[in-house]
Amino acid sequence: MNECREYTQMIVRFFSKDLTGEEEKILNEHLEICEKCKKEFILQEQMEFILQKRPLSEAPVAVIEKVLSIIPERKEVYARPYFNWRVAVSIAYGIAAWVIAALSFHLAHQPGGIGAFIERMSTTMTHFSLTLESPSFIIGTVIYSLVVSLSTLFIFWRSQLRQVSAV
Amino acid sequence: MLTFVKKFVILETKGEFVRLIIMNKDIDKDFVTRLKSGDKRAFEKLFTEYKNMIYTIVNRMVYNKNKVDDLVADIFVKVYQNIQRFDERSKLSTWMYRVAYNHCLDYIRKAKSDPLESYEPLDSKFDLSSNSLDPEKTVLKGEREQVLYALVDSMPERYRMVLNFYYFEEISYNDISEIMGIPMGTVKTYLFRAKEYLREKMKKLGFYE
Repeated sequence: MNECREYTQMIVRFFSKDLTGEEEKILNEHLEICEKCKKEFILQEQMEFILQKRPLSEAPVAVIEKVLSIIPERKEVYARPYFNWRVAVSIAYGIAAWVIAALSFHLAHQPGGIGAFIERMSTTMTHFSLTLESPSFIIGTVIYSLVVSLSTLFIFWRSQLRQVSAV
Repeated sequence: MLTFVKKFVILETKGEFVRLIIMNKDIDKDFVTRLKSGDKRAFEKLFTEYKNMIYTIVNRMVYNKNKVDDLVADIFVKVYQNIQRFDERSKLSTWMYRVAYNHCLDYIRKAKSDPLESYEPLDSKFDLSSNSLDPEKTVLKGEREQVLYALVDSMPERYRMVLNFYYFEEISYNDISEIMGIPMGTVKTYLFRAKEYLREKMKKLGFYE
């Protein structure tokens, strides 16, 4: 009887993953010959199953709303400048755009340069009777430059913005 | 490489990947950094993932159900305000459970000394020394689970919470020890005694023959 009491305790510890390999072996050997302890094992197994499947309580909507309303808003402020992938992208984007614009402008005004070639070959330009000197083309170039500049500035501004202080 | 990929995905998509990391309890350092920098959206993600867990801890620890909502809100505000103190030596979840556990303990202590607080332990409702639960009724209703859960809820706080933490998500002994501020050996002892108590009670009540 006392011996079985020891095995019952081992069964509890088995389900708490608190038995050594040697103890597990001893318990297994005993369970093969003792019907009473085998029943205890099944009982414990059932209890473990019930306890494991106990569901979590659902936090009511009122609590969720309360917590989210309590958490103070934090204002966005400029932190010290720092370098990250957004900064790298904005700088690379800005440089590349301006290099391309400058190159296009330079080449366009070279006699027989790539600009004249583009002008001759471009069906769109031919279709709208555009030349490199026409106002529409110049306005388009200005708009392109403005868009590039502003988007570069925007990416850079976002990269420097961090939430650092609570109101 | 893995760290790089994780960082990249977090920066790119923010939402879903961060959620997965939290669910796996593998909190990325970047996520903690975001929390520490006061990123409200990161905190909202954290709250969404842990609200039920924290609510359950409070619900199972505190008997005054009218106070549960307030306590849960207080705990999340505490987490938000004290996130800088999280030293990242333990898991974020473990740290949060510890904040919740200690906050509930404080409340229970205060409630015990304050006659205006309606602190009513279940122990007074369930006289465990006698068979006050009607086994026949409950057996007939097939409510073995409910009786077992009621027995768990009526146990003294430390035994009850060791048992609850152990079954929540199979939190390790080490984590339970950290959450409750007791040695690991004591955690094992409480768990063993709690399980033995439950088995004996269930047998006495006639659920297992």
